[in-house]
This record gives sequence, C-alpha cells and structure tokens, in this order.
Amino acid sequence: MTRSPDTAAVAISLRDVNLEYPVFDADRSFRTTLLRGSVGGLIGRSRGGRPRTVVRALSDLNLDILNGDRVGLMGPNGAGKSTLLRVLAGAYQPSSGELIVRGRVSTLLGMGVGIDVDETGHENIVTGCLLLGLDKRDSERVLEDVVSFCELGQYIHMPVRTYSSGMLVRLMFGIATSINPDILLIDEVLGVGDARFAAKAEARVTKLMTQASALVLASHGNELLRRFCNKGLFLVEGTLRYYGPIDDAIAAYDTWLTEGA
Amino acid sequence: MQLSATQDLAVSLRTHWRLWLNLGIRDTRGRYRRTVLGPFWTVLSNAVMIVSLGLVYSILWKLPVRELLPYFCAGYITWTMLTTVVSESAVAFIGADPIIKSLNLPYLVHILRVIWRNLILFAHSLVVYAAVMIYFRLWPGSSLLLLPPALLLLSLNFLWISLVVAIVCTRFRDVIQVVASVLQVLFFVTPIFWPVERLEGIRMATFVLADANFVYHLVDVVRGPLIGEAPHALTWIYLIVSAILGNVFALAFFERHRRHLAFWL
Repeated sequence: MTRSPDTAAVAISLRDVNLEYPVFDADRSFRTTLLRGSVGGLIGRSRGGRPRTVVRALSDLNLDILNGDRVGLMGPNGAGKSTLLRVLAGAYQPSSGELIVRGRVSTLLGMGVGIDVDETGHENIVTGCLLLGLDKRDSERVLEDVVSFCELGQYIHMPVRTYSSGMLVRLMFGIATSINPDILLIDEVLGVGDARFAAKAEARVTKLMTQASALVLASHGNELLRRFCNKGLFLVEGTLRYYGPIDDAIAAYDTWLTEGA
Repeated sequence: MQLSATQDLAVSLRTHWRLWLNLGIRDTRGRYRRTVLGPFWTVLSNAVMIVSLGLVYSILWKLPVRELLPYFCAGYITWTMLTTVVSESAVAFIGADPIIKSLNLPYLVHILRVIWRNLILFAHSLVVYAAVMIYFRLWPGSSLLLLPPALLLLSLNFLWISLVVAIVCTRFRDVIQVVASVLQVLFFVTPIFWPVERLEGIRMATFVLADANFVYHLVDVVRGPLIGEAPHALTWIYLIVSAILGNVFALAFFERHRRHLAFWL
C-alpha cells in the first residue's frame, strides 16, 4: 500500500473531513447539558455562533480509496458508518474538509426508496430507474433484467400491495442492484427471501461488487468482510481508528471490543 | 460534487426531467386510484363548489349569473392550483426524505414535481370551465391564445415561491401551519369570488387588494385569457419582474441552505 498514491488511481479521497449536524428537536436541558453519548458520535455545542446541540458524526477523516480497493467499513453502532456512506454518496455534504470522488457512485442504501405499493411492479421499476438516474436506453435493459431476475411472472403487472413480503424484497433488491457503478457503496447486505433466492441475490451482489472499480461495504459480519474486502476501515465515534489490510483492521476492531467490554 | 443552486436547477431540467414528469403523473394516478370517477372527482367537487358559490354570490352582488359565474370559475380553478402548489411545496422536501437521504439527486426535482402535478390537476379543472362557457354560450375569443404564456409565467413564479416555502418549512415546521392560514386569508381578500369592479372608487382598497396584490396578478393572468379579457400590462410587468427577482432571490437562498437541507429532515 502506497502512502502517496498517484492521483489517477484514487477513486475517493477525503482530507480533514468533518461532519456536524444540528439537532433541532432537542430540548433546552438536553441542549445545555453537553452530553457525551454512550452510543453515537460526539454530542456537544457547535463551535462559535449560537449554542445549539450538534452531533459530530465524522471527525477529521483523512483517507484515500484507490481503484481496485474493496473497503470494509466496521465499527460499533453509531460509529458513523452510514453517515460516511451518505457523505460518499453525495447525500450529505461535509461541514468542512475536502472530498473528491472520481467516477459514478451508486449505493444500495436506497433499497425500497420510491416504491409505491399501489403501482404495479413494472411501474415501480420504471420509476426506480429514473430515480437511479438511468437514461432511456439503460432503463429498457434494466427493465428486462429486473423482471427476469425478480421472477415475479405475471405479478409484475399487479399492484405491489398484492405482493408477499418476499416478492416485495425481491423487487426492491432487483431495482437497487440494477445499477452499474464505478464506485459501489453498500450498507449491510440484507437477507433476501428464501434460500434459493438468497443464493441468486448473493450472486448478483457479488457480480456488482466485482465489477465496480471501488467498493465500500459497511457490515458487522467479519466473514463477509473477509470474503469481499481487501482493506478495512475501523471507525469509532466518527474518528478513524485503523485503515489498512482487512485482517489487521478486524483484529484492531476485535481488540477494541474486548478492551471496551 | 455538491451542486450549486443553479447547477441543481440545470440538472433537474436537463438530466432528470423524465423523473419529475413520471413522479407527477404517478402522484396524479395515485390521487384517484380505485375511485370510480377517477379524475372526475376533482371536476365534480369543483363544479359543485363553483356553481353553488357562483349562484349565491350573484344574488349577493346583484350581478347576472352569466357574468359572475365564468369569472368566478376561472378565478377559482386558478386559485386552487396556486393554493395547492404552495401548501404541497411546504412538504415537498419533507415528503422526499428517503430519496434525499439516500440518493444523490438534485433537490429541485421535488419542486418541479409539485408544480407539474398541479398543472395536470388544473387541466382537469378546465373541464368545469369549459362546461360553464358552453352552458352560457360564451367564447373567450383570441385572448385564449394568451393562456399558454400566462401559465408559463405563473409556473416561473411558482418555482421561486415553492422553493422558498419548501426550504423554510423544512427547517421551521411551524411555518407549514402558518402557510395554510395565510392562504386562507388571501383567498378572501383577493378578488376571486367577488369582482374587482366592486372596488371602484375606493382608491386605497383598489391599490392594496388589486394593483399591488401579488396574488391578484397571479390569478388574473390566467383568469383573464379564460374569460376573454387580456390581462392588463401591469399584470404582465408585475409577474415578469417578480419571476426574475423572485427566482434570483430563491436561488441565492437555496445556494446558502442547500448543504443544510439533508440535516433538517
């Protein structure tokens, strides 16, 4: 691993990235107490300006993710894993610092977003493609692909509210994975449907993960992380504790867990 | 990779136009799903409202129904569009919470969706207007040609009003309620179900309630072409100026708060 990678190989670069967000419905006593949460990022007053409750979800992150990197994101609940993924996805903007992302980013964060249960499966796939920003040609390809992948048969023309929960998950999963990104962000791999379909779903995600030039996968499953990732990124309370080879990262996390307990 | 306000607008219009067109149509379908009359519920409820109020007020104002009803009808359906655009804009971002938090889409998609679905709804309401005109054997004449530019100008004004309302209401949820009450007051003080001629001779009231009243011009620019009276030059100028200034202000406001919006949800 090179410490000063040449810029062409860098997919994602973070320099001194901080993310603070205000909490508006916190009450006055909560606001003045300056709590430090046992779970979650750091809660405190924002620096300067009016006092208000802010959550510091990410603190001074510096890291490079290179093309070809498969990064496993780990840490306890509230470490900032999902927040970091949302920053990388462009949904949240860092409060300070610099973030450079090179390539087309897609997330599996948005599973189920935009699903309207009164619409048919087919119509939901069309809207899903538009939400993912696919153009007309891609949408047609995806439509066929998702219809065959979901194995919904004639149900594809039925309103989604008539679906069993397994069918619904299949549809949502099919839409969310219909992307073809350079950089793929995944927040936990979800259990999908029955055993046979789970294998199929896994094959689909695996294909996505291997095709993407960079992957960031947040998970609590060490086996999963070892299988798919070559690097590990270990966060605690929004601070980077370790970033390096996956086995070392898992070891660092395990040490932290035992010491903490 | 974060968009500026103007980039957000440009990307929403150029890259994602199919998305908000699709969502707007889907919203419209959803509104009538599993109803027997479908879109004609809007038509029917509007028709009942317009005919009954039109009749009552023609007696109160001592005006022939033939004169008041088309005026009231055209004004009322335009007002309805305005009021739903504004009140739905209040929750435009709040309702799109999951989309905003997990996908990197421009925010103005959600605003354009609201405006677009209400233009569709307005088109449905035109059926009531057409029925009234046919019943009274009236024809608006060439002024009807002014309807498309009037709707365009109205939509351009909607753009900035919606954007400002949506941003403020996302941060301060109380404003959603304020917006609802303000709209109600505006309905009664603006010449919609009473003819503007009623103000004749009262100079102060004419100025406050009509000439200077932004809402009056918003309504009249569409109502005029529908009832065969080309809108006044003042109306066009007022709305063109407000569209320009309003959008400049709204985009600057949006630019300032765009980065915070996701955290306000």
